[in-house]
Amino acid sequence: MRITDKIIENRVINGLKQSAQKLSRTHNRIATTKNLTRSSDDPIGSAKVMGYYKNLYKVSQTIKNGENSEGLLSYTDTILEEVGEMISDARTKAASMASDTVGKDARETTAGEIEIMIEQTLQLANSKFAGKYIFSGQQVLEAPYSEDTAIDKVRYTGDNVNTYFTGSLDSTANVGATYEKQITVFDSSGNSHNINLTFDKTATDTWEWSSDIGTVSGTDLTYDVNGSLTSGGNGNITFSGWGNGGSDLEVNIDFSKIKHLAGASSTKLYAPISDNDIEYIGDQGEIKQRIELGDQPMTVNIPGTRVFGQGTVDGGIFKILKDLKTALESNNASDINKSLSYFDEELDRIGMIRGEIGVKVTRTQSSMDELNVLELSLKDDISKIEDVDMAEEAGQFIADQEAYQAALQATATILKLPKLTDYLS
Amino acid sequence: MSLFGSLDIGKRAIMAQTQALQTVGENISNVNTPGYSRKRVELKSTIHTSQQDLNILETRRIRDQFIDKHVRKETQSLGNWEMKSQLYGQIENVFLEPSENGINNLLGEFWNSWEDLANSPENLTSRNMVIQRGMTLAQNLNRIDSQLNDIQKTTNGYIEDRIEQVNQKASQIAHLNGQIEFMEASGSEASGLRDSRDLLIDELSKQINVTSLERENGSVALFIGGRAIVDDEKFTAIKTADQSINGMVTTTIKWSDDLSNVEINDGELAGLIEVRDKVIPELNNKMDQLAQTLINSVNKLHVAGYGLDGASQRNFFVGNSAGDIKVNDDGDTGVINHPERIAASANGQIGDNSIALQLARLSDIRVAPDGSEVPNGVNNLDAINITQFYSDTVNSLGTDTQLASMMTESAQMLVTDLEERREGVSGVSLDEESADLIKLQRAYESAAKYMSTIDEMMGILMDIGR
Repeated sequence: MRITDKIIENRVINGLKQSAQKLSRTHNRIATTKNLTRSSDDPIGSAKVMGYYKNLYKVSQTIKNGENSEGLLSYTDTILEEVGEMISDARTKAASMASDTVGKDARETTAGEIEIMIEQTLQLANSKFAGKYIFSGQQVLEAPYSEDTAIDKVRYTGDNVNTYFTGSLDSTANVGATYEKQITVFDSSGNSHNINLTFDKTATDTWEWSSDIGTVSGTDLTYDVNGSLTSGGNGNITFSGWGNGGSDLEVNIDFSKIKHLAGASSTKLYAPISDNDIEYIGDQGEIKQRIELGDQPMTVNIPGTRVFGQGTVDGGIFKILKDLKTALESNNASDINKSLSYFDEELDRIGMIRGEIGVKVTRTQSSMDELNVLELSLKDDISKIEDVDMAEEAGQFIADQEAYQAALQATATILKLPKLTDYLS
Repeated sequence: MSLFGSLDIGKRAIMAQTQALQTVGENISNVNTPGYSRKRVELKSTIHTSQQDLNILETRRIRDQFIDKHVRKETQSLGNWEMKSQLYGQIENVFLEPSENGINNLLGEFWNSWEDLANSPENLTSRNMVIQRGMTLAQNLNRIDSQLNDIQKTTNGYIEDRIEQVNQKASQIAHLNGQIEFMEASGSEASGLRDSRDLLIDELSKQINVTSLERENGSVALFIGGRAIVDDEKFTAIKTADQSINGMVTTTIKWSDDLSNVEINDGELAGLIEVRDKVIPELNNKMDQLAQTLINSVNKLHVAGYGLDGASQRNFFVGNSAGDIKVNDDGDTGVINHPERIAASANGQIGDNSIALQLARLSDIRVAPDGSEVPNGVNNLDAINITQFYSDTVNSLGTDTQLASMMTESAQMLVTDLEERREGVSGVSLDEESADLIKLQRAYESAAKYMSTIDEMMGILMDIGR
C-alpha cells in the first residue's frame, strides 16, 4: 500500500489518542475506586450488584429488627425473673405466716409488706421498653394495669351490644345553627349519667359534632343529600337514619370501644373501679417482627393477662396477693395456707412463659448469626464486582503511563523524520 | 524533419514539463486539504498524435470509486451507532445505576422504612421517615420521567437540524452536478468540483442512508430508500411533519413534493429516530408500569389500615404514572404533614404493625398492576416484582448501551481503515512529489539543453553561408 504523509500523521495521532484514553480510564477507575459506575460498564455484573444490594437492604434491616426483638425479649425476660422472685418472696412470707403459732400482730405487719409487694408488682407490670409498655398488648402507649382512684377509670363489663338514641336535626337549617342533645346512660348500680352531644352546622351539608365524653369527640361529620350521615372521628359513634326536613336521627354508640369516660363517669355497661382495685386495660393483640428472611414474622410481646391475670377483681397475681393481704389482716390462717398453692401455680406459669421467651431469643440469635454472615458475604460479593483491585490498577496505571510516554516519543520522532527534500540540494 | 521542427519539439517538451510541474505544485499545496484527490499528468507521445497542435497532456484525479462506496456505506452505519451510543449514554445517566441515589437503593430504603415503622408504629419519627422515603422515591421517578422527556425533545431538535443539513448538502450537490456537466462537456475533468462533491456525499452519508449513482454525463444521482433526492440538477427536499401518536406529538420525515414517508434506515437520522420513537417510549412505558404497580400495591394495603387517629381508607400515593406519582398531600386524607395518618395498624390499635409488615413485604412478592399479590407459580404476565422489574429494565438498557458503544467502536475502526485505504490511493505523498519534482526538473533541463543544442546547430548552419 502507498503510504502518504497524512496516513502516517493520522496513525500516530490515533495511537496517541488511544493510549491517552486508556490512561485516563485507568486513572478514572483509581480515582473513583469503582469498576462499575454505569450499568453499561458491565451489564451482567451490574444486574448482580443491584440484586445483591436489594438483598443487603433486606438483610441489614432484618438484623436491625432482630436486635430490636432481642432487646425487647431479653428485657421482658428480666422483668419476668423479677416477678418470679417477687412471687417466691411472697410465698416464703405466706409460708412463714401460715403456721398457727404466728400472732395477729406479725400477720398485720406482713400484710403491710404484701401491700408494698403489690405496688412493686404493679410497677413491674407497667414496665416500659423504648417508651412502650411491654405488657399491654397493642395498647403500647397505655399502662396496662391501673390502680387509679380517679372517676374516669372504668371497667368494661358487658358485651359489644350497641346502644342508641334518636333525635332530630333540621337539614334546612342555616349555617351556624347549633343543636344540643343530651343522652342518658346507666351504670351497673342503676345510677344515670348524662352525655352531651353538640352539633354545629359549619357549612352547607356539613355538621361538626362533639361530645363531653373525652375520647369520642369528633369532627368531619358529613351530611349527604340522600339523607344519611356517616361519622368521621374514630368510629365509636355512628349516625344513621337522617331524613331531609328534620326526620329522626339515630345515634349508635359502641361502648365496648370506650375505655375512659371523662366527666360523664360511667355507663350501664361500664363499672367504675373501686379504690385500690387493679384492672387490666390492655388487649390481647400480638406485636410481630420479622427477624428472619422468610415470610413468617415472630410474635415478640406477651399480653399482661398471661403473666399477671386480669387484676385484683378477676384473678391473677394481683388477686392472689390482695387475697393474701386480706387473709393476713383478718388473721385467717387457712386462707393464708391456701395461697401457697396459688403461688406455686403462678411460679410454674412464669417459668413456662420464660421458657417460651428463651426459645424465641435463641431463634432470634441464631437468625442474627446467619444474617451477619450473609451480610458480610453480600458486601464481599458486591465489592468483588464493584470495587477496583487497587494493586492491580496501580500496576496497570504505571504500564499505561509508560505506554503513553513511548507513544509520545514515537510521535515526536516520526513527525521529525526528514523528507526527501532535505537531501536534495 | 527540419531543424525548426526540432525546435518545436523542444518547445512542446518544455511546456509539457512546466504543466506537469504545475500539477506537482498543486498536489503539494493541497497536501492537507480534506477531500482532495491527488492528480497525475499523463504524458502522451506526440509522434502518434495526428493532430499535433492538441495538448499532449491530460490531468486526471486518482480516485477509487469502489472504496468510496464502501466508505460511505460504513459511514452510515457509524453515524447510526455513534448517535445511538451518545443518546444511550445520556439516557443511562438519567438512571444513575448502580449508585447510592438510584431507584434500586431508594426502593430498598422505602421498604426498610416500613419495616422500621413496624418496629415502632407509635413513633412519629419513624412515620415521618416513611413519608420522606416515599417522597424521595416519587420525586426520583418524576425526575427520570421528565429527563427522559427532555432527551426526547432534544432528539427531536437534532432530527430537525439533521434534516436541514441533509437538504442543504443535497441542494449543493445538485448545483455541483450542473457545473461539472458544463465544464466536462469540453472534455477536461472538473477535478476540483468533483472533490467537493465527493466530500459532500461523504458527509451526507453519515447523516442518512443515501446511495449514489454516477451517470454518463458526470452527474451523480442520490437515492434515499429508492427515491431520488438529487438527480442531475433536480433536488427534492425532505421535511419534517408533525404527527400525533397516542396524544404525543412526534415528527415524521416526508418528501416535500408528495408528502410520502422517507424510508430512513441508517445514518445518524435512523439512530435518532429509533431512540426518539422506540427506545424512550419503551422506557417511559416501563417506568409508568413500575410507578402504577407501586402506587396500587402500596395503596391497596394502606387504605385497609388505620392511622394513629383511628381512621382508615387513605391512599399513601396518588397519581398513576412515573410522571405524576407523589405522596398523597390532600388536605383531608393526605399523609404529608400528617404522619399520624400513616396506616401501620390493621385493627386501629396503636401497637399493631401488621399493615407496615405487609407493606415491607412488597419488596419480595410479585404484584399485578392493580396491586394485588400474585403468588409464585401463578401465571400472570403483567405481574412484577417491583425491584426486580426495575433492575431488569436498567440492565437491559445497560446491555443496549454497551452494544451501541461496541458497535460504534468497530464501525469507527472499519471507517478509519477504509479512509486510510482511500488516502493510500488518493492522498498526496510529499516524497513522491519531491521525486517527481526532480524528475521534471531534469526533463526540463534536458529539453532546454536540447533547444540550445538545436540553436547551436542552427548557428553552425548559418556560419556555413558566410
